Amino acid sequence: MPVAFLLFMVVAIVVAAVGSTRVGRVIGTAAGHFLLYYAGVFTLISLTAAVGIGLVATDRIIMSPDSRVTAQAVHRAVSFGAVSFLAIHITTEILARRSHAVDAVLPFLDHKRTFYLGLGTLASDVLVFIAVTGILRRRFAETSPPWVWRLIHAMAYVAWPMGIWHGLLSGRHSKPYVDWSYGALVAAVGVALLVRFVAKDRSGQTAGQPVPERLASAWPPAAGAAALGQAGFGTGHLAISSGAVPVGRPQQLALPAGTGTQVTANLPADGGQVVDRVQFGHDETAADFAYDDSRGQYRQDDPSEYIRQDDPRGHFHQDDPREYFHQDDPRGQYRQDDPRERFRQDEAPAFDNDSADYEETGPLPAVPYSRYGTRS
Amino acid sequence: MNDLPVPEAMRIGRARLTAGLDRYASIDLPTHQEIFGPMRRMTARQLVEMAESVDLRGRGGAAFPVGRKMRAVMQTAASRKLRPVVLVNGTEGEPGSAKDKMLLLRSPYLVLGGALLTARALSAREIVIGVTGGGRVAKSIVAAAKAEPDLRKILRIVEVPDRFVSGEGGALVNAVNGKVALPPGRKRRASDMGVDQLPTYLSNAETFAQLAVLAMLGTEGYASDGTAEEPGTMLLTVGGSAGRPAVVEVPIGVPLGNVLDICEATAHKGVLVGGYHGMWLPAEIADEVPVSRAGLDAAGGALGAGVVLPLGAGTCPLGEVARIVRYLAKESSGQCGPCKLGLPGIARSMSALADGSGGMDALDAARRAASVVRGRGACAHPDGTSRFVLSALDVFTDDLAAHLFRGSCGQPVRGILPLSPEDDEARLQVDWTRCQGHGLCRSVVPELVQLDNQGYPVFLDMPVPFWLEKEAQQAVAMCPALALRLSAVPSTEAPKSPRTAVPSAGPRTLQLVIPPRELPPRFLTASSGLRPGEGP
Repeated sequence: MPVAFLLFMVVAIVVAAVGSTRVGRVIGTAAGHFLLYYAGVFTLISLTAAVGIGLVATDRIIMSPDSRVTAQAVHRAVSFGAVSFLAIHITTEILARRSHAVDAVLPFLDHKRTFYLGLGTLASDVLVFIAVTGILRRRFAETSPPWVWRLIHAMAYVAWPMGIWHGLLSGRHSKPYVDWSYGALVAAVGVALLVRFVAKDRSGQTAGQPVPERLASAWPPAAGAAALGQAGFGTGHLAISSGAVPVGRPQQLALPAGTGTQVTANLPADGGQVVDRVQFGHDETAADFAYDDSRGQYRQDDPSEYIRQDDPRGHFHQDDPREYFHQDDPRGQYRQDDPRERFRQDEAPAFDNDSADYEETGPLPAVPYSRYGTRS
Repeated sequence: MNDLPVPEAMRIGRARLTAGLDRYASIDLPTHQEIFGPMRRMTARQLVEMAESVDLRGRGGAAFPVGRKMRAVMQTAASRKLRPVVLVNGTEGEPGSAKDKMLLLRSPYLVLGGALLTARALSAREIVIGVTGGGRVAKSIVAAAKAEPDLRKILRIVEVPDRFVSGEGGALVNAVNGKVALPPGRKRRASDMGVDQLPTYLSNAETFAQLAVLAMLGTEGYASDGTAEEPGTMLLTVGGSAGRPAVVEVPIGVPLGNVLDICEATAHKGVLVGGYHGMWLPAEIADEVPVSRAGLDAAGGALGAGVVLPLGAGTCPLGEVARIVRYLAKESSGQCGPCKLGLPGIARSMSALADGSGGMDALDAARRAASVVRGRGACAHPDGTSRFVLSALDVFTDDLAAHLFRGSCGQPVRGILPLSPEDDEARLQVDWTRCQGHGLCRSVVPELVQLDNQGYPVFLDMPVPFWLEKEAQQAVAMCPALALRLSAVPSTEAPKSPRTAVPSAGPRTLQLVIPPRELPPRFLTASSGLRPGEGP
């Protein structure tokens, strides 16, 4: 902080020194003209970028959490730039006597270009408000319901088009391509907003990453089977004790895809409901299921769901090729993390629950404290 | 820490450091001289020879030979023609340790006398004492020094923030030199460049007391107790589930079981020896192991600074261990990458094991994470944490099996192992009704937040360390659902009962209790040296 202050002082002194010379004054005048001419343009460009990046930062369909963090940081930086340019724009306009100081705060008072100038004032007031509340976002998170802050921040979608309107019609005439560009950007943001709100309806349900895994854990028998499998009980033990078919590699045995075999043929009758309309190989779409499924048993989003109806132990998780490995892998040697699935493919069949290998892992080894001499 | 009661002192065998403490709450100068005789003067050569003949070691944990350290200081001082500094480490960052505080509060002249003896022998220009304890220990030393004119001339007291790593020698030297009390990145021996860049003799407070006793008893007298290889006595701080937590003076070599007995403790499942950088010993070994470096070495443990924490029945050992690992992770100074990322990783795995959400994966991850941090930091903090975790995983196998296969051992976490209070520190908290699993918090503070299979955050139940405050605030500001907050709400875990070695009520034969008094607020700030006489 003291360093920043020192730097500021040095810069201020240098500027003052240069400004007092004749050349310096020429430079100063030129810079003033430049800012008067362009500060508004820069404000509008950075504001547009801030709106766009802010909107992108909320996306969770394409963007990863990491890139969303980056996008938020960029959004803040660009918004800060927009507010800074806005301050320069307003100051230079007032210094050039093109508008009155009152116009900077209160809209629609100027007697000349009342409406378009007033739009700019209005947009600038809202923007400053948004910027201030944006900085205070942490406070809002702690004290008020989320919609309060969201509503305030969403006012940007009103202020920004007003700013564009002001920018295109209040000052000098803009070239047609500029008008078209801004029009296109407003339309693009409108579409993106639409996507955001449509996509948002589903966000509550799709918060989880892998859908099958989620359902498995929500569904007690499947979750129990998975837990037992992980805890070191082999599928064989489990399956025999419960009177079901012991299955080594369930997917290969039970899912001869494309042959049209009824699922129910392979499964115990007490396991669930018989759904004889469902056949493998038939190309069901989600809509088909919705049609046949008046009680909503088969979820639309998850074509694998119908399997679970027939599969009380959760052997077959179609969507999750990793899942069945829990069944075969009581010691968790073949991890789900293995992205290329090399180990699983090659080694899983060789792994046998009933082998001596498995027995050895039962009790954990005793602590080797044999070095301690005086014991006994 | 103002309310820290004065630790009870007990002994097995003849009293040396604890002499007089069975009659006096704290020993003033006349009493001290009555018990220990007048303070002696010795030449450096005499002192070094005596220390070497009884193989006196530092009592701060590293057990470095005192004689060799003194020789190093003398050599540097002679070659650079400088007068050295004597630095007394009375900081005791270890929450389970109270022996140095006990000495400085109740028998300060023993420590000060040892420091003065050393300072005179080395013709040091200054004695610096680093202390923690919220001003109370410092006050005791100031009061003690006022009565001893020789001390007043050369004594300086520096109060250090009460943190785990600030007791490390390099961190203390930094603090005394007016820098932040963190371990330095490059190892520098204090005997070469210590306080004010002068050669510095740095030892733990108990070590100076031992020097004073050694000077008083002479070599033969000193060696009349203890084992042939490790003569003398040592101070242990017994806490944990002990019925009578206390600082105990024992002749080196007594079985640990005796110590546990007089403190009314049982080695139920395991005993932690050496503090939170030490090792867990299983009960059957802990009862018989002799309290000596050789004995613990043979048992695979380490004596460290003499902290003994038995863990009784009725509490979940893994939960206790996880709690301490979270504390150790928080206490990392955040300087070295392997430590600041690795320790929260170990804490996460251990917490997952303890609450049953981890399973084999967590056990594996804990082992690997604990093994990978060894030897990869500026100080021994990652090494000590690793030792602590790995030995716990070796000793508590029954509980581990119960947690792995049944999810829990069925016992609550009672918080038996002592911690410094941390209730006022900020934690990351989430409003679950708002959270939508965006996962931005994980990207910003992966140390404290990880995501579960559903994409929702799993928080490490520990206060935000000071080196993560900025990131935590950023995570709060960036949460798209406005669901995160930082607030000082105590842990959801079991009741906090900071159990240091505190006396329980009721009169006892060997025990002396000073009732906790109301004390003025801190009168010394960190690293602001105060010379006696200028005091408040």
